[in-house]
Amino acid sequence: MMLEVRDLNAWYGRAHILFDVTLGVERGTVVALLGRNGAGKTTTFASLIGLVPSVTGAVTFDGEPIQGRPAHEIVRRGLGYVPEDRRIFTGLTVEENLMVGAQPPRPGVPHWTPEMLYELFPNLAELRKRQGGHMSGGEQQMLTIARTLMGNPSLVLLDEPSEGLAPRIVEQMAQALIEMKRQGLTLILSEQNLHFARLISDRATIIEGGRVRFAGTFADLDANPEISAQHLAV
Amino acid sequence: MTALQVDTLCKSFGGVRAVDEVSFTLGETELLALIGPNGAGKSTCFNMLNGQIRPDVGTIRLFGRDITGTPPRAVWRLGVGRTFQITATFGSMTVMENVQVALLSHHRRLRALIPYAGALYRDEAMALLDLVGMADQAARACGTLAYGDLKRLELAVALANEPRVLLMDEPTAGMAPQERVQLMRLTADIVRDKGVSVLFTEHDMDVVFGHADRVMVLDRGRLVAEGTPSEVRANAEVQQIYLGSGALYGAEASA
Amino acid sequence: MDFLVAQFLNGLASASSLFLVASGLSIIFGVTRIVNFAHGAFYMLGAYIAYTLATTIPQPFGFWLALPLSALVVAAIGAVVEMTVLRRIYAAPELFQLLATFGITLMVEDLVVMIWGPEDLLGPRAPGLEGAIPIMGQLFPTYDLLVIAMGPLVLLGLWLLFHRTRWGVLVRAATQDRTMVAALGVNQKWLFTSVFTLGIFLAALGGALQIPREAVHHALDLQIIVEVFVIVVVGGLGNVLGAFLAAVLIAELNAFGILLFPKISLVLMFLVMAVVLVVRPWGLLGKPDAEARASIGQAIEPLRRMGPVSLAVSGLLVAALAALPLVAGPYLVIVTMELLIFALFAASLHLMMGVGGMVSFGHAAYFGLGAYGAALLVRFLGVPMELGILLGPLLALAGAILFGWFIVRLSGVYLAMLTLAFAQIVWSIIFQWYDVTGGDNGILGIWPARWASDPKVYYYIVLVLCVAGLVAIRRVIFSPFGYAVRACRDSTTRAEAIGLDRRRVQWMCFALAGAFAGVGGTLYAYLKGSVFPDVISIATSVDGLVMVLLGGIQTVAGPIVGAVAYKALSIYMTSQVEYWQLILGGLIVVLVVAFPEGIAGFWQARVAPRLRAATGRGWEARS
Repeated sequence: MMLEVRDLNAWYGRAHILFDVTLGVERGTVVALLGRNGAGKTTTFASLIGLVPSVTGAVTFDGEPIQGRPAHEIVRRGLGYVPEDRRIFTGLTVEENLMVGAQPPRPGVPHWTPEMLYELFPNLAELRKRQGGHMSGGEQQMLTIARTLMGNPSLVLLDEPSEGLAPRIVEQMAQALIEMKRQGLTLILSEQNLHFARLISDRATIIEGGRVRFAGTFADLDANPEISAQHLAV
Repeated sequence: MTALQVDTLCKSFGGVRAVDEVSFTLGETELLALIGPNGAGKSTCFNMLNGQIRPDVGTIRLFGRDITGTPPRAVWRLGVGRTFQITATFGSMTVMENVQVALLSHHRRLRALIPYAGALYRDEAMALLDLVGMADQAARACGTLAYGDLKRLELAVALANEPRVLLMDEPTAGMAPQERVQLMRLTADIVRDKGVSVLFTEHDMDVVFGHADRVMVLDRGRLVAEGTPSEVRANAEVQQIYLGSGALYGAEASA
Repeated sequence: MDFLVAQFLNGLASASSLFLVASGLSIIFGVTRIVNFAHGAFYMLGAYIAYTLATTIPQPFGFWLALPLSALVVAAIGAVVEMTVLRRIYAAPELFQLLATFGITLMVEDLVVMIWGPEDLLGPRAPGLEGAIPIMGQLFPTYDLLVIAMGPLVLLGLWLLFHRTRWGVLVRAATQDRTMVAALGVNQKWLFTSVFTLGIFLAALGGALQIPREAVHHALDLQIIVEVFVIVVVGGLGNVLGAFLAAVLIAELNAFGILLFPKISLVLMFLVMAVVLVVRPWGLLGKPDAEARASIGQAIEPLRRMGPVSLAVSGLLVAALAALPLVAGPYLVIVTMELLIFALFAASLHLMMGVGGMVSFGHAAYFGLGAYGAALLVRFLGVPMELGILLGPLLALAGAILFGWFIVRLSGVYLAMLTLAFAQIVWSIIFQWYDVTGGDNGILGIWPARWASDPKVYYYIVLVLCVAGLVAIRRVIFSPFGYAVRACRDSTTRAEAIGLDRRRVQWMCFALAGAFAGVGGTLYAYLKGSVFPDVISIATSVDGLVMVLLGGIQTVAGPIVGAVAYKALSIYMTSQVEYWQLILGGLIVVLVVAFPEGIAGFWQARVAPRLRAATGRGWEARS
């Protein structure tokens, strides 16, 4: 197991958000985290990356415990995070955004340079001097992913990467994610778009009300339509 | 009589047309859905309807009366209730107090300095909370509510001034499936019993196709389709830009 | 003409020094979101240390080494302060951070007196630049030309730093979204420490540069911090270029204002700030704060009316206060009157700050207007005390209505700065309008009526009015209007969507708060028998802030507890301890670090739930 999460509980203030979340991700696979708005997907990611102050449970990444560590330490171990809502630095240019994400190379994982990322996301190449605030939603989303890759992660958490994008852009996004997987990256993506998730992912985990309700392959999920019906309202 | 009549509404932000010549009508006691991709301009459209944003061009009529550019508080007094995509409630108050404030405002008693507000309009507040199924949580601090309950509280608050039009921005987001159905049934009951007209945005197609009388589709600021749920569902362009799925399977081949 | 050029250059020299300090403040705010009140103290420290270095290291190197060395030493002190104090309170509400830096300021003020003594110190001339050169016939100090050059040089340096280095890019990124920066593997802690250190370095350098130009003394900090606040706000928070433009604007205004409008020279800067903020609510080059921050005073726990126990305790307390003159001596009676008056003052500030979400750095204006209202009535119309107490607060109400109209147009730190501007305008008018207000000499002879001349009798007037005021404020908080005020604070969007006019509601709240403060001010004038411009000083406003924050902004009782604790402490300390500011400042810092929710807030959040749990009473059961 590359990432192992056991009995993760998280609170925002007094509100208990995650209840005993348990997950396992094998190296080189893609796991889709499915569930509705407010189900706990974003909190799960934020907890893994060290952005939620009150968390209990055990998280091991590459065999080392990372729970309770500050975010920057977790990221420097190779856990990349692509937040929802893009969150690029709108006052910075594309190049500068990439600079913020840059980390030293790490053995055994692809070492990304801006040039390689401009190849992966051809739209960005023409925009390197453009300010982040003057880009379209799709371009911003690609920049968010590129910026995280600059940290040379071995595992990337992607929070709703297809959300609010035109289908044409979603297609490009899918291609980029498949390419990342081909390069040997491990991915966890949270999604509401089942089709998108199915296209890219090897396994699915359904989270609802802060609890894991299902974990298995898409074939298992298809074999139990009542699960999707109950938790995903499909 | 039409509840809302919207003509060639336009709004640009920094040169980008967020809403581009949108025209439509909302009939009396109609449940009208507005759908489309994120960033299509649905929220901007809503914010113009209740006066939060002033349109660059276009007019909005409420039962024939021009309300274009009227501030939200005045639009509310004219009988337009609103729920928000990101819930907006009073976090330092209890559930009951949230509704009481709306009632106090409706009865124009918010300037009073002497009486104890907590004792005013309790029964009316309770009745509204009962209506949305929140009566048992009346004494809870609003800040501790689950997301779905906040949505229901917002509905109760929006109903406090006996509105003739309700604008609901993603009313069921974050709710469990059964809750969604319940909330939309409740909304449909309110439409029927109180003669309210409802315009709502929604991402859950079960909710849209299951409850709306009519559906409009917005893409990049423009209305691209409009009709009954079955017409819209069958519309090829809508499938292409929003309902999707077909386009994505195309990506598999190219990948 | 020639004289005007010289005056213009003088202005530029001041602008450079102000810009150095302001840019540091601006950078620190941009990244850490801390409004660093102690910035002036570090500026002053820079000047003192440069003085010592320049006079101990042999010339000609002494002076030129002293400037950078002093800035480095002070920057190192700043780094230590950041790591030991600020780092612990980044998550606390921004006002607590302000309070902590205020505590640091108090400490530094006493420390410099302990080390360097209370006298003004005159620094050495700059070796090599002692002379003056003729510019258009006027002799202009050569050293000042160097100072003038420093401003643009530092501006250029900062621009290069922020746009040509990775560190600078990280700082700009963190200014927008510091959580995201951490989520990209950047160690926020060290980024914050380095930013704070750079900011303090600039402040100290600004101070060190001044030693050949003006005497070093222990009140430099407050003098500069107010001007620098104004500059940063006029320029736009977090915008360095804006700070530069504003520094030039304000410095030239000071240079020429004294020539053109000598009567209102002190007000000019604040008038300009008020105009800028009303026209451009985020300063000249500032942008609206995209990041929606939870506003001050917002609590998860709803405010509750007193239960029977609290009511009984309050009743007993009032009864005990009523019995006090029977057992206590005159000193204790007078001290208690002061505590009561300040409790009312703090509660009125809490009404607008805690309940209304409008932070005021200038609440003393309304306290002072209440005091001067009564004093002017006595001086010019000879009105009796009974009428004076009734009419005095009306001046405060009128001031609050007038200024409030402008103030509610803004929000957040900008709103707070505008309250400060108006308070300074009031202070300046009273200070400079000698014929009416007596200026510095104040107005004397405002004594209670003969029947109330015994402090023990006047005590009952104070007790009745202050308790009535406190009850009234409490009543307002729980009235429909109080709910409207809280509604506007909690969610403007929702408030407007249910028919509330936010500005109008906040305006009324502001006027009410001003009127209650005015009652306190009037009572204070009769207590002291005189009024001086001090009552409107920044120190009084800050005292009010400290009381409210110390007591806890999220509770109704908090400000009263805070006022009594703080005032009693400072009265005791000023009479007993030589360096009381040092101890008081230290105490504030410790309290903020230990109880970021305030004393009453700590009680409510930590102690009360345990008591409730122990007695088996949950809040659901109390509804």
